[in-house]
Amino acid sequence: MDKQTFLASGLLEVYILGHCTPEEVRTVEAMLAKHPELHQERLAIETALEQIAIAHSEPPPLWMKGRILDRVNEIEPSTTPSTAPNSGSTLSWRWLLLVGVLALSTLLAYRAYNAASIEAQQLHTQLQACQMRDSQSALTPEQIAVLNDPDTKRYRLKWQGQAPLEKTDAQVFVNDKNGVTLLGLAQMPTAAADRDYQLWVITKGNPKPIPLKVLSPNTLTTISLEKQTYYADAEAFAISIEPKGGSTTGIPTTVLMVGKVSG
Amino acid sequence: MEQRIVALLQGQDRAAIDLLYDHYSPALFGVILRIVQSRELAEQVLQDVFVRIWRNGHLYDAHKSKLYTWMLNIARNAAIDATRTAYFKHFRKTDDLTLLTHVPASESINPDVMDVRKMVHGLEDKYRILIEKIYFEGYTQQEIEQELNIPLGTIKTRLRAAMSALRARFDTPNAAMQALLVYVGNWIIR
Repeated sequence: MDKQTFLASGLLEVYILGHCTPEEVRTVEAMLAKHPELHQERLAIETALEQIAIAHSEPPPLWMKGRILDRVNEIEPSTTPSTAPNSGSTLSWRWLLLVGVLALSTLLAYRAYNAASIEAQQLHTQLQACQMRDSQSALTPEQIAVLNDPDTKRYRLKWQGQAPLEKTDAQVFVNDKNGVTLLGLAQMPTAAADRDYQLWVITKGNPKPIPLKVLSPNTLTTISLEKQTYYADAEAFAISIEPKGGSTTGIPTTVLMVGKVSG
Repeated sequence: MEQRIVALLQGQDRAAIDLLYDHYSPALFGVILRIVQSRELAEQVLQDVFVRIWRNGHLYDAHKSKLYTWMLNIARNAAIDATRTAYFKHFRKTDDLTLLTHVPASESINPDVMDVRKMVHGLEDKYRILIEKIYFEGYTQQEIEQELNIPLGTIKTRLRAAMSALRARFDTPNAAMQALLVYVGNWIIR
């Protein structure tokens, strides 16, 4: 490939963004090796991307720096040798000598290094080889199945009255086939210290709402997905604000959000 | 400055994190925030990103990329991973463009920063959407091909055109000075 074709192709941009296939990486790196002047172009693209990032700068909260420094200080400095061995090579004679001479402390340093090395190699592969990322999930297989099932119905709960927080997202996922109900919450405004949110379901023919889970504060950090009791004849879901521990009267105190089940 | 930080980082001198934070954290946080669209999640991700930068400093290769690019990619990958749970994909309306174009409120927005933002937003739709999808949403080329019905080759050439259009605006003497002011401004604020 000639230089002009290469540049016009956009491969270099994709490479810098870490989005190319291993084959594309090889192509780009071969071109860079063959035409070192292309590094100037690479730097110019990187600078443009930096400027986009800078343009969207947002100062982190004031406590962040201290927190990060604390976390970094907790990490033991690893006694890594200055050159990392390749994954495929056998231990060098120098490494063996260290192990032989320094006994237990060397063994510990080796284990710390190995763990960091594996993680580092994984990151290296991720960045340099531009592999497609698999979606990582902290969800249970059942939850994933519900979310991916085309038969799962989704009902958004809406604020009754003025929304205190625009970005709150509360949705109920109902899968009648498997009899599963999930409640997903994102960015609920923090309840007061003496209050809790509670979920309710209104079923067909039964005007009195049935209390479901009290939503404890740590499910309201940012995003949560929790299983709820399944009701085949659910007609609506509601979230209310209650005294801490949930409603003591058996009915909602103040209903904040409602989502009607359609169809 | 970048060289000094790189030397500290690769020497596992903790002063590197201090400097990295002061110079780069707002840009990293801004990018993470735009991707995850949640302040609390972004705060978590930012911490993880700095820890990852610290742990993997010895892997950074100055011949392959600038330090900033290396860190931005770590931040973007971490943020995108945080959003790629099956749950998040269904939970967030990813076709909701208002989420994508939401600009986090700042007390006083540096006018130079606004100019650069305007440049991105002022791009033709087909360029702007591509940059937003790849940069801020972590779409792979294949995903863009499927969603927008654009052939893979066109995606790349269009990205090239988009970046070239932006760079042409950046490269005017005015824009270069502005970009420099933004950088210095951020440094001073810290």
